This record gives sequence, C-alpha cells and structure tokens, in this order.
Amino acid sequence: MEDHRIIELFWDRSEEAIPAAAGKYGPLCRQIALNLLRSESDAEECVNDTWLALWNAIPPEKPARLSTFVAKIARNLAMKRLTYRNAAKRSCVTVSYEELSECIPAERTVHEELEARELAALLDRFLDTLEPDSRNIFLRRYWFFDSTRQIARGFGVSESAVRSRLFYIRKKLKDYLLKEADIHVG
Amino acid sequence: MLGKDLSNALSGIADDKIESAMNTYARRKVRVRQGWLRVAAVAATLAILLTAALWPAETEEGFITAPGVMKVYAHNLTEEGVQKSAVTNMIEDVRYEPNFWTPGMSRLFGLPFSLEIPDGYFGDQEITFAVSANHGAFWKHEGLEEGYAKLGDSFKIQNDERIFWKCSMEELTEVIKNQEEIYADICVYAGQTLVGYGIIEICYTAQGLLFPLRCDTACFPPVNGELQAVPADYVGLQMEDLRNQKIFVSWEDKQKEINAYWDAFFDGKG
Repeated sequence: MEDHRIIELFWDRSEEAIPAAAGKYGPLCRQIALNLLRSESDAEECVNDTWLALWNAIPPEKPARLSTFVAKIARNLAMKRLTYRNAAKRSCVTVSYEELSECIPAERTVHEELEARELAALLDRFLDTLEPDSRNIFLRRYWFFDSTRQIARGFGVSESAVRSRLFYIRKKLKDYLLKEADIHVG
Repeated sequence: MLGKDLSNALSGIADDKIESAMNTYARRKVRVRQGWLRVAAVAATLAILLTAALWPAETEEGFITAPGVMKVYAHNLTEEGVQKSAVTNMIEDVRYEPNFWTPGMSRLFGLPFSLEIPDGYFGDQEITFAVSANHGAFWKHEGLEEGYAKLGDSFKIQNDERIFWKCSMEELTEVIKNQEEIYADICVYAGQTLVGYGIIEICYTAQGLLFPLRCDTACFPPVNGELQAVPADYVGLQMEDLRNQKIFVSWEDKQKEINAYWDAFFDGKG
C-alpha cells in the first residue's frame, strides 16, 4: 500500500490504519527495536508502542516520508526503553555509544561552544561531506544500531573493512566537531 | 556531552539520509540473490568456500565473483617458528600479528607472503599466481645451496608457496619522499585461464618499517562446471578500482595513524 494511502487511513481514523502500517513497516521497526533491546519480548512491546504513538501522532502530522517517520518513533521508543531498563550488559548499543564518544573532542569545549539544538544540524552537514556508502555505513551503525557483522553482510564486504571505515569516519567527525567548535567561538 | 547525546542527535538528521540507509541493503540484496541462483548448480564446490568467503555476487558485466576465496597470508617468524596470519583490511589486525620488515633486518629476508586457493576450488586445474609489485621486488628461497633468487617483474608461483618482498633503503627513501604507495598485483590462473585477482598494499612508517596494510581479492568461480572467460583488461580495471579504494582520507592521515600505532606497539602499549 502506498504511504499516502496509509496516512489517509490514519487521518480517517480507520481501524485498517495500524494493520496497514504494521504490514509495511513492522519488520523495519522490529529490527530497529531488536538491535537496541536485544530481547524479543521487549522489541515486540516497543513495536506495539510504535503503532500507538503513530496513531496519536497522525493527525495532526502528515509526514512527507512515512518510512523515516515510523523508524524515528521506533528508534526513540527503543532508546527510552533501553535507558529505563538501564541495561548493564555490554550491548551493541553501549558499544555504539562508546564508539561515538571517541568523536567528542573535549567534553567541556563542545558543551560550552555548541548548543544541543544545533547538534542535529551539524551532524546533518557532516553527513553531507561523506560519500554515500560511508554515510550509509555510519547510519546503519549509529542510527539503526546494526552490528558490524550485519553491515558487512549487507554491503558484501568484510567485517574488518566495516570497522576500518567506521574508524575513519569517527575520526573525521571528531575533526569536524573540533573545527565547528572553533568557528562558533570565533 | 556523551556518545549517547550524539546518538540522540542523529534522530534529527534529514529524512532522505535515513531513508537511503534504510534501503541500502535491499539495493544490494537483489544483485547478490541473482548471483547466488546462478551458481547454485555448483553448490557442492561453493559450500566449502562460503564458510570462509563472502556471498558470491554478479557484476554488472555478468561475471560471477567471489571475494575472499584467495587468501593472502603474511608470515611472522617467532620463537615458535613461522606463523601465518591472513592479511585483511584493518590496521588493528597488525596489533595481533605484527608482521613487519625493514631493510637491514637480519631475521627475515624480506616481508614474507604466501597465496592460497582452496584445494579443488577450480577442479583439478593447476593453480598459479602471477605477481608483480610497483616498488621493490619479490624473491624466493630456492634451497640451502642456491639461496634466494630474485623473481622477475612478473612471475608465477604455486599454491601456498612462500615468497618475500623487499626493497632497498634507497628505493624506500624515494618512495617515502614522493609519498607513493606500494602495491603488489596478483592474478590467479587455473591452467591457462585467468580466474581471480587481488592487490596487497604494503605500508611504511617514517622509520622505514614495512608491513602489509590490506589486501583485497576476488575470484571467478566456475559456473555450471565451466571456468568463466574473463578478459584481462576487465581484471585490470577491477584491480585499479581496488587500489583506488582508500581507508584513510589522505596520505597524511594514513601515515599519522600508522606511525602512532607502531610507536605505541614498540612502547609496549600496542
């Protein structure tokens, strides 16, 4: 079913809206939730919460891209659930957080010089500097929380190539953040 | 700010980027699936390989390729004897198996390598490798009496035969001064048919340590029991593409990273 038709169902408050969305985007949401939560039962609850959140969001929202709108909801809900669960076990997500922490030049400098609301725009600009494959690998790792093994299979390359590429991108991001912080200070 | 804050901020990036990443596997899955169906007729042969290799894929020109079939091993001489470690594409692999050589080193004649295709992959055809390097030269140990012999600009070796790459300090100094890269090109033959290719990048530090940084290989598996007829100029283009694939953004970045790793290694922190 086309996205605009699914959105219409939500706007019409049709009982077919959620089944239609679930049929098209259920596997995507489930994969995102599973990558973060590493638990089938938690992932299932998260996915169910996603449909409820979607029902409450549309209307008034009329997303231009339903796929990313749904994915963002699922991701945010999964991250909140993970924080709430306070997972002590080292997971793919904590590894991702640790990897991204390498990109932060100095906590005091970035905290003082960059406002939080500018960070998304800054990351967006940084991603524009990357080649498409590098950008996609970065997002599969840090947006979708795929393991390096999943990414390697998805791209048809070795895991070591994925890790090398991520290492290089993180380094580039760190340099980019440093440069932006300097520019902001003037 | 924590890594988690960066991760949260990623939620606010533009939708088109998220969508592109969302669909990136699907774009690749179609081509891989087609290649898999075509080689299903030789599944008995490929089954041995798929445990160690990546999924076969079909190129735009219609050839079936299988990366990772040909293994390139770097050798390290330790107290326990010669140890082989597969050369891959990550500098951190050096951390676990530090294979290096430098002109003037006495314990190794040169940087040792061996190339290997699994037995029976191309049926009963004899496997040979044609190897050349843009800098330095390859040598082979001919025996106790004959010693080491320098191999020509392009030579053939047998499966799992050990060869040594070396260069003089003078040549290495020129290479470092000109910021050039060192590559060895490999072509694989089953009988007289070209069936695979690869490149090895040999990297150097400012102090003149040489080590294998990465390698990329691909083979053309038999299809329906027949060897694929792949033109040499097509393979040449693929090898050029491999050489052009960089894991560092610039030569300076690469040298900085490599020198930092080896400095830490020799300081006992690696």
